[in-house]
Amino acid sequence: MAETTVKDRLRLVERNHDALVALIEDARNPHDEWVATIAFYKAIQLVEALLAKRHGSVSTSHFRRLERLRVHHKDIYKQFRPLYNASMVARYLCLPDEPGSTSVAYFSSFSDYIGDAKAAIINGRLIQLEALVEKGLGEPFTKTRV
Amino acid sequence: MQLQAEEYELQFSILVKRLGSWLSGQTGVAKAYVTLRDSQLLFLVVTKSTKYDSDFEDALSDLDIELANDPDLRDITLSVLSIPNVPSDSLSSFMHPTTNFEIQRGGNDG
Repeated sequence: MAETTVKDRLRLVERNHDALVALIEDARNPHDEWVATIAFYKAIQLVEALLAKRHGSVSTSHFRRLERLRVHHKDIYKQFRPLYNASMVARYLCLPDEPGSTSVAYFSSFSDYIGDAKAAIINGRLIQLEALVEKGLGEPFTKTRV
Repeated sequence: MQLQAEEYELQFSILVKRLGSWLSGQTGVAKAYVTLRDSQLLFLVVTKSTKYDSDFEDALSDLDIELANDPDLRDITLSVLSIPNVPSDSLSSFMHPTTNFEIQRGGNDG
């Protein structure tokens, strides 16, 4: 069963990879929120393939996944958590309709927050995570390149 | 073996002290809270900056790993999350409306 699960997860890795590449290569719009989100989803499938291979089971919840990585794969977790964090900011953080006048500089957009998304998300985290997972997985998958 | 309330209370107070101590060493944090999200404890950090900071994310991940592997906190399940500086109204997406309290630098004693 573990082998089937690893293969299933790697199929999802490839689908997420294809979507990520399409977003990155779209010169018309930066799509930063979706780059962060799809990069995170690719990372989820990669770590779940690794967990299935190494521990014989996939995670039953998001929190369980974090717990397993924090304890058993700390180096991978250090790349995974910032991807998760960025996707949360991308998906859920928004300003109130009327933030009011203030001298404090507040978050204005995800693109402004993340800056160069390719550098921060892809080069900074996803590629590192892919290299670490590849060592433990021993199965081929398409690596992200920018 | 059933977890006793007193044991959980003790671990929770250790957690709050640890979080306060960590905050004491962080100059880039505007506010920090412990709250519930999806029925799980969350340490929510609001940074002073509006920009992504890779080094800060690493520091937060290190804290997360340290707490998760601390035998003194064996029954505590905590996630961590950082968000850039936002008005308090924007925190509702991440904070439980009633179960939340601010963590003070150095701990919440007194």
